[in-house]
Amino acid sequence: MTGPTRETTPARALWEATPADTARKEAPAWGTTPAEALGPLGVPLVDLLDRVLATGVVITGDLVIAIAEVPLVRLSLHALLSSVNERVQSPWTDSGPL
Amino acid sequence: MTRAEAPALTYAFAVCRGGDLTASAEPLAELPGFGTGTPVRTLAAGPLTAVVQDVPAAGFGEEALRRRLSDRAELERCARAHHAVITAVSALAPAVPLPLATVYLDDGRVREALGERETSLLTALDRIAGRAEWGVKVYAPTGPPPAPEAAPGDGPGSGRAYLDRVRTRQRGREQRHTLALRAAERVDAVARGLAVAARRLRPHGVEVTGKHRTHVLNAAYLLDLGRERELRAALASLRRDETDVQIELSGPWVPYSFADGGLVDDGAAP
Repeated sequence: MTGPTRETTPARALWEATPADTARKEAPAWGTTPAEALGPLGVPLVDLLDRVLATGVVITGDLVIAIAEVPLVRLSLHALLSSVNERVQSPWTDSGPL
Repeated sequence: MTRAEAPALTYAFAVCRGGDLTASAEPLAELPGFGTGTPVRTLAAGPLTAVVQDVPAAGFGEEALRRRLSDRAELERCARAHHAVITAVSALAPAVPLPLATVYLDDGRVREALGERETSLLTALDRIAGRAEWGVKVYAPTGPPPAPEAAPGDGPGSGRAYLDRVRTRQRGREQRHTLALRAAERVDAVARGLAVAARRLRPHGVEVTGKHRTHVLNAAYLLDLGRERELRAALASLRRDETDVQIELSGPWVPYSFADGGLVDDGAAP
């Protein structure tokens, strides 16, 4: 599930088959703790957040506007993932202390 | 299902073309969505249909959402619940995914919002129909620290040797970075060649990638269904040639990154 080579799964088949089933499996019951099988910041979660948050906003909900001029994304991710944040100007963040 | 007494908001997941969904929307009612006990349902708005769920204002109002999305576990739960519904909808009909936490005060506001953007939503639906998004990420291993050419215990007078080591290391690092960036551009060029649209997302920082590698390309490509085989083959070939970098593929994704145009890069410009 995790790991770099997620292209082995017949994801497309899964995606197309019984959507309700798939979705039910993927959606944890609200208020329960999902299995944290993906690590502290599981790679698939990061990929997902890239998409559900940073996606181009076609349409904006009332509350998203109400919260701030910046999308909600920025607020929450600021604390959580400085990874997808404008402050990260350069991909080269590894040139730390020598 | 009786409507809850508590004031409810309307959470919107995705937008489809009206006719595409009405016949086959029953499976949606089985979805838990956010697990609020209310069904995931469709909401017609002119030629469009939104997929929505009533959610309690207490849990999805401004403050509650802010708190919830600032908590990593809650953010993950929300993101996965959101994604699960969108994935299910997309299996039924082409769907424009809406961003996480798109909440309206009521159904009427959803209709208004859809009405205002009718043309662009219809255009987006045309663009993503019969296509899927694939994610390609390229990483540069930060590599082992340069060989300990100067063993410990150089003794006094090793200041110059130290500086040399630092410079050599710095130069090596820059060279590796340059090579990796070029490799990423080649990967991007190949993937773009197969795609109908491409988009750069922001590369992840070290908090996500870990110190052992640097993220040099985070890109999304919109591919016609059926072309993924070519993409896989192209990446397999690139993996053989581009030994300086690691190449990862994810997908198929509902075309999140192409819901609003997707023809312009908005991430890290090269």
